[in-house]
Amino acid sequence: MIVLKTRKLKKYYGSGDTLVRALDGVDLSVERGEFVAVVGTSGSGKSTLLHMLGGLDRPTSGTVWVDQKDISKLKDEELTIFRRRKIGFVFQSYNLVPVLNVYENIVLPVELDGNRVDKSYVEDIIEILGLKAKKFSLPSQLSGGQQQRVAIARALAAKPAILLADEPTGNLDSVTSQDVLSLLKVTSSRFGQTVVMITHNEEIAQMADRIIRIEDGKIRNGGEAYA
Amino acid sequence: MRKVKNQKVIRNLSDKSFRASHTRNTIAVLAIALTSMLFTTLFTIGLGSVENFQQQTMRQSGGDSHGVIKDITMEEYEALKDHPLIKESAACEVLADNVANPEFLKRHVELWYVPEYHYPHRYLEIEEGRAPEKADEVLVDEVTIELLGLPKETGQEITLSLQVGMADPAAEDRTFTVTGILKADPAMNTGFVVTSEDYLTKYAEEIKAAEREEYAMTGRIDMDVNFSNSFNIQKKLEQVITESGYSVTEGDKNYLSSNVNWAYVSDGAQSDPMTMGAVAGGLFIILLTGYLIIYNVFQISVVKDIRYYGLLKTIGTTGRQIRKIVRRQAWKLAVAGIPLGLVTGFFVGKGIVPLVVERSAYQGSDVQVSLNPWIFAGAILFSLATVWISTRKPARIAGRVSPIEAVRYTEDQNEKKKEKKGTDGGKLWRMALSNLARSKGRTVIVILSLSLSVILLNSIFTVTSSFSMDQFLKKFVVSDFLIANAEYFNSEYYGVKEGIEEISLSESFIRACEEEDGFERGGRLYMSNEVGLEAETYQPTENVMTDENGEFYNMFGSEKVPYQRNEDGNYRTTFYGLEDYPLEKAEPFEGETDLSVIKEKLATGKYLLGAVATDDNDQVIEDEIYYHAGDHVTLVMKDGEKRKFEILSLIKENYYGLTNRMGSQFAFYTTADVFLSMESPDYLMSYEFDVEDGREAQFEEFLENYTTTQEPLMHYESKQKWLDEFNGLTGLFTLVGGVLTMVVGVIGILNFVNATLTGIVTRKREFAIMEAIGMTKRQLTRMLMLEGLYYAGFTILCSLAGGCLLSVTLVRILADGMWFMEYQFILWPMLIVFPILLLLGVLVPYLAYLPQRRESVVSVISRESA
Repeated sequence: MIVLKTRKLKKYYGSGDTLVRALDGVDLSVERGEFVAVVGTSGSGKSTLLHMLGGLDRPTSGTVWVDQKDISKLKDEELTIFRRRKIGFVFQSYNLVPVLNVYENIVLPVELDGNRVDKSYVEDIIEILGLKAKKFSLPSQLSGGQQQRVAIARALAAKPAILLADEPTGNLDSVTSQDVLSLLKVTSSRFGQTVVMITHNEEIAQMADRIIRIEDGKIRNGGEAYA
Repeated sequence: MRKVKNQKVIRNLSDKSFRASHTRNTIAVLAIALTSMLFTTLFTIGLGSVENFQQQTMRQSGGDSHGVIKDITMEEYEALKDHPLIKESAACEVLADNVANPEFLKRHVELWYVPEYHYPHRYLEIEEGRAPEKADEVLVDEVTIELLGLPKETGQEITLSLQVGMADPAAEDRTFTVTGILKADPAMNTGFVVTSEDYLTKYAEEIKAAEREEYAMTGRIDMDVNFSNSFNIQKKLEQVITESGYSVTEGDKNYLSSNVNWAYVSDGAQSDPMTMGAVAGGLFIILLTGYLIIYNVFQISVVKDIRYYGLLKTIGTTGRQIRKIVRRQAWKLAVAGIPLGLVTGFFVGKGIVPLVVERSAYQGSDVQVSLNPWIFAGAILFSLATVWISTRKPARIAGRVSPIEAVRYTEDQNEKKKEKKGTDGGKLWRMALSNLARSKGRTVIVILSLSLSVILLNSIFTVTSSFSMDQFLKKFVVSDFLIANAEYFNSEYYGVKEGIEEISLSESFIRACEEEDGFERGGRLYMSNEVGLEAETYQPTENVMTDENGEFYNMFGSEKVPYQRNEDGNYRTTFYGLEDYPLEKAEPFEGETDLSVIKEKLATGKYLLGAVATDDNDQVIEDEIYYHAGDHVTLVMKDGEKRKFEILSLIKENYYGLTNRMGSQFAFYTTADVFLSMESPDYLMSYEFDVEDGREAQFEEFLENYTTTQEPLMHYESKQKWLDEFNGLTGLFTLVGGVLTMVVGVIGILNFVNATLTGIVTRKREFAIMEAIGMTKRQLTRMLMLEGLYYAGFTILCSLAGGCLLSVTLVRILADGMWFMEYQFILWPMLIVFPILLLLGVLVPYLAYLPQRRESVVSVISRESA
């Protein structure tokens, strides 16, 4: 079952001589439970693609379906609400809320949605990600790897349709990177979570089920699911 | 230290970062301008009032010379005038004992010689024409000319009827040519005619002759003296006298008396501890207000730019240099803000000074506020000091930051929290609260700054609502109206037989009032000064002081003044006869206190009431009780007839309602009937009456009309006049306090706006992330509004606590200390402001965030992480 699909997705910046085709007709689809890595050099358009997929930005033309829903038609407010229900983000620079402790950060998206927190589920995630001892710590007391694990937990907390990770290991050393990524992989397979991860690190990308290569705003290979 | 030529670089860096912080600059300039405006206003009001009071005192004392050596001869003047201490001096001479023209009966005129160079020091201002030169030329003031029924023109002739010396009471008519018109001083009820030096030569004989007479005024020379400054005037005067070969010991043959111009002695406004306290308090509040905002603005801006300062450090900028960069920005803001504040402050102050002066005893003189450089010097100094104090710590922080830490720097680092228990911090209201706690320093200062104005407001209203109209009126008014001869209101009703008809009230005026529609009830007050208290039978109380000769005396300052005696050797009294209406206003406190019994007993003619002075708080001054209820006194009439009385009770002296408005040692009261059996009805002093409710204005108009057209020598006083006085006082306080509160309030709001704005700008990235993980813009706005509400809420708590505390302590002490105040605890001014605060708390963040709402998440994230 396809949870994510794009059709002729285009994103242009500027106009005339300065026109930049960040995305130039991207077609891709992702199956539920798949772990996909998007690789490309800097400026290839992979970050733009992630922003489109996550509904952070709007395409110039084309369509994005998440869970059969065309998100390019949603209004700003609806889009944000859609995002917190269907999409979990993990950023390169963790981006935890400094005034909240680990637990509060993790459940923030659920609380923002006004939903009751699935406590056992959250405890599970905390357990798997090895954050149990740090549950009440503030972000400033955590190492980079720990912070990123909290970010992953946060992304998973709302049981999103897709987890989007933008260079999740970009700020980490290689050992920690491996750790964090293994944990990401373990959790996603444990909970059947779809993951789309952007990276420029081939080694990291190799851990994915499928690799999509993007160049100059176009997909070179791996765009379609195997199925 | 090594001298390095780096000033230019530092300046450049400072200026560049200066331009980058636009919002901060606007707010800081406004804050500094408002602070310096408050300082300027305060100094303008302070110095302006002192200046006007002093001026008016000088005008009343006749000049602005530092001192005067009195009643000397021309030879003595010549001997004194060259003393090195004297900067300027002049011999001014009185040339007639009386100018006896009938037109000057109500406003007497003095004939003087004053050297022309000395005119300005005696406030002789020639409006038109020139100074006199010949013996028959004079300057005359405009009112005097008017009284003579002449136009205000020079060149015309006037005839003055001059009485020279006391020996010959006959007046001689002399005709002069008017060479100039002097400006009349409304503060003085005296006219001036000024002659030339030639007059002195021409009439030298008669002046000499008069000078030799003991009591004659003519020929009296006063030497006005100015020194280089107004310190220790009396000492300098005495030094001049002794070093010129004269004595300052009374009784010596070569004794010369001298005194300081009391305008320089009684500069009450400067030494009065109450005023001093108020000024110091005002300065402190302004400094605090200024500090709270300027400090906060800089603190926030430094923290915001801390990475930049870290970067500067990394590339080799020293802490000193960074401090300089911050300081330089502060000075630039001060240079922009202070002049703005000086100008507005001066004009605001200038607008208020006349209102302050109007509340003083002096009236009728034009008020002016000069561009006193001290106002600006003081305001600039205090403003700069505020800026300096406020930027000290932020500059130090910027200078001390280590390049590594700069990246991670957050405020209040010393308070490192490792853990935070709890699981529902993600709720909006919890998050908002945590956000406030993030930079406690800033939050506390904003709350303090806002609270300050609320507390100030409440205190000011507490004070004004404690102004008790009843207390105030009680002191001055016993009835709706009081009518009397105009002289009575000048405290010139002496109650002596000679000339009594010129100072007493006319029966025709009373009749006119009684016949006017709406008249309700009234009563006459008689007073005679011709009745003495028999000295031999007087039994002094323990309060009476006796000197070595057995003579009773009072102390006035350091001067012993023996009890005043009549020619027959008996003590002088003021003896009153009251009709029922005023008698009922008496407040007995010792002896019989039932007024109807008092009335009955007084009517027998065997009893008297005695009045004892009260202090400002309407308390009897125990030390001034000179006899008691039950004592027997004997009154002696002018014709020698004696009558014995028993003191029935002691009453509180009612200065404005029941006296001739001159203090008296022995003030005795009886009924009008008893009074009239002893004295003539000519001693009619005043009449007090009430009118029907709602008729006050009509009566006011009637009296105004009557006293101008029918009997111009009569005058009246109404409750309304005192009410107006009271309202003026309250209004003044509200105005000054209101201006202060408003500006402090604006500063508080500015502080809040600044904190909110920077709070939003610095958290832009954080907000973008929140949005990415699903916080809607609406939720974000709500969170910010909650933060604002917390500010408002804490301000409310803080000002409630602070306001109540201040009210029951300081304000209460102040109110209890003032006789016309009755302390009242009130909260309503705060309660009114609280909804406004809450509204602001919601509105300011909402408006501040509005422009951000349009920015897209991606652009923020990619820009801010770059």
